[in-house]
Amino acid sequence: MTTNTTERDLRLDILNSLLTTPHRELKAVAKLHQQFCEVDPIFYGHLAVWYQQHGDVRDHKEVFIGNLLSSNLVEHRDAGFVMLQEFPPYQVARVVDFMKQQRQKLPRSARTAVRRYLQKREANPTFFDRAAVRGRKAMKHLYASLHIKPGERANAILFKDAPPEGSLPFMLKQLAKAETTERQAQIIAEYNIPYTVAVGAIEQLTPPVLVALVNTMSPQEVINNLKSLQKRGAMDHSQVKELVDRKLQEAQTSDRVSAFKAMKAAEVAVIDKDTAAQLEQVVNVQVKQRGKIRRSTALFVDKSASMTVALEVGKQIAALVSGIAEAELFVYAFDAIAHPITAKGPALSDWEKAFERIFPKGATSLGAPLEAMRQQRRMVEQIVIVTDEQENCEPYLATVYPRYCEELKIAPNVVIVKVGQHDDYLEQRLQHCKIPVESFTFAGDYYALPNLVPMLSGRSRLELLMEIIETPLPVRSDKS
Amino acid sequence: MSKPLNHVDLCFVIDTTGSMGSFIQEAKQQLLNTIGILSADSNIDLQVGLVQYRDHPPQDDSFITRFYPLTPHLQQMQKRINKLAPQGGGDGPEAVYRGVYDACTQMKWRPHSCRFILLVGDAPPHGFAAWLRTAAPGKKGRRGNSGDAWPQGCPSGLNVESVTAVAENWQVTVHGLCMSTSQLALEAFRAIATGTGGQCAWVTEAQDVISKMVAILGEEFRDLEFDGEVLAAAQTLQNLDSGEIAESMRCPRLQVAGAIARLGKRGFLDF
Repeated sequence: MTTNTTERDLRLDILNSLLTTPHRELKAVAKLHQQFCEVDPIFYGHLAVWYQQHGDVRDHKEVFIGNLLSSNLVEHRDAGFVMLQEFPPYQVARVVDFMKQQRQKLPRSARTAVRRYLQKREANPTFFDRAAVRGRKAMKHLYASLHIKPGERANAILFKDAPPEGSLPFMLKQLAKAETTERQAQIIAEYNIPYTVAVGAIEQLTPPVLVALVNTMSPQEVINNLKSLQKRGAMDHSQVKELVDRKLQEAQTSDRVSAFKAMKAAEVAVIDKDTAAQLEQVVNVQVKQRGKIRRSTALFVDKSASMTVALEVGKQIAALVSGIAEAELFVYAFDAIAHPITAKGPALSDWEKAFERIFPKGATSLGAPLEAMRQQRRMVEQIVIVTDEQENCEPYLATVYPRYCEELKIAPNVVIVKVGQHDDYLEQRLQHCKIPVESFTFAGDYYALPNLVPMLSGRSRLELLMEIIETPLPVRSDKS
Repeated sequence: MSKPLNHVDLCFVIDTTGSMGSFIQEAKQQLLNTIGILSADSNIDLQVGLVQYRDHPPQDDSFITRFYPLTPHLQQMQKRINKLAPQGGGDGPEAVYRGVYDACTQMKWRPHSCRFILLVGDAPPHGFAAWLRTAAPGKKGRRGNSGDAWPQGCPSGLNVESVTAVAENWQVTVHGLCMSTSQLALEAFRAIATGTGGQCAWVTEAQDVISKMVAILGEEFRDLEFDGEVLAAAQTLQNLDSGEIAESMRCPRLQVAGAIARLGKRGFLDF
């Protein structure tokens, strides 16, 4: 029993760290993976496959594959072999570099996996051309660094810079040489030239070219390149703007759009109110697809003076939860006292408005909002607390909680979202008092926030662990 | 700029009991370094204060705390720091809580200033081991009272909660520098610092704490000019709707929302 509990706790730790590690910190990610991989290799393998299907952060996906491909277990290497085939060239190149630099090894099977990857593309010229255009440097890197001999056509395109006539790389050269805007637009439309490639080939993007380019873009590409589009005047031209709006509309229902990339886009680009609203709508709709919260929920947001990030995180979570809540939701900001917060709607802007005059000030009483709920006899099944866990004035949560349970005949689960300079004193106190508590560390990455949804939507972490461990490892078809 | 957005008030709270004898030169150097780094930034209007603490009688009869108000005359403060002399103290723990408490409540902090305390010492407060047993029942490690004359709690009646609550009420962020290798002292300084949103480290990692303070200031004063413009726009519009302010300034709403949070935290938006 003890062993099982320890094993479970360890896996929960792994899961928690994985869900909260900020992206773009490959070194930190690699170290974390190394530890997981050594401590619990079986779980690690299943987690890797589960993460490819459900995870959001690119760095994790790459490190998972790198570790699987260089694993001592045949099953892991085979799974890595299969999953690598799905990556775009730039990610395959990153996986190869990861294995060489961080793992200091590149097993023969990994090299075979890359060779198979390249051969598959060479066998299909359209497939190959698109990969070569989008990831030319990465493709060259793969052939060169692993000493894989390219086919004649691949060699001509990548290394001799002499693409065959009619191929996509050839047309890209034609695009760069095209003398009229009309011809440029025609080539882009006809050959579906990607935006990021075209902007490198054409010096000035005229409205007809922009129209052709936006037409070829996926909704996610529009979101990712919004700042660049804006810089190139796309939003000042009515026809282009209309197209961008249409793509943003499509983004709401697309299953290939990242909700929080849309938010990031809104942060960095100086966009008009309508576009900002559209992006917000993308976030709202995308988050809704993550699940439904059917349990009545209370959200307590720490607004004490030490909290500089909690309010921002609190607003995001409030918008996230309220958008998908099918049961009652009570929101409080608290310092030494509780401040009930009500928004007019579930959108982030509604919560921005609702939190408008709430600033970080005052001491911290985590029991204050629960005490307010107890007095008003507001029953909830779960409580989400965004805090740095530093309670310093009464009523304390551990004191109010038993009273709340006794009077309202309910024992809500507590989920602590740790922010800022947090410690674990609160968790320890709650655990000591046998209060059911789970924690989630917010490490500054808003992309990680949607990971909260599975925790709140009814599934426990234990159930999530079961789902992960039951995820089968893919097997190589050429071996069976 | 209509209000003093760039005011920084920094108070050093330093243990000057006898046990600090071997660390005092290093401690002074850290304080002087901090002043040096912060005053080098011409965007900051800096005032520095100082609180020395020793221990409660009868452990120490010289003083519990000695107070030097915030001053813009940094050279004067540097001279004051250079004259600090360790003496007395009695038992292991010292009057840490009183030092922080007095600094929070007795300094004449400027309205709307960005406020910091840098707590420097080598011993935990009285009663901290007992506090830790209650606050972190699952925590392993040394739990002794290290020769504490008041093992059940500080004679001032203060503890981690009351001191951090006072700091939060006065909008002060406490950072800690632990001069000795005492795990209990570090734990105590860390509890006080994190309770106010600050950081704590061994003195060998002092640069981390100082960098953190500079980073916090950087965060606060990032886009100082922009914050000033947002404040002016909010005052003109007489509301805090980030969308409306953003539209009037022709800039992204989230950028404005960030500025509003910074301004609100420092009390610039209480209109």
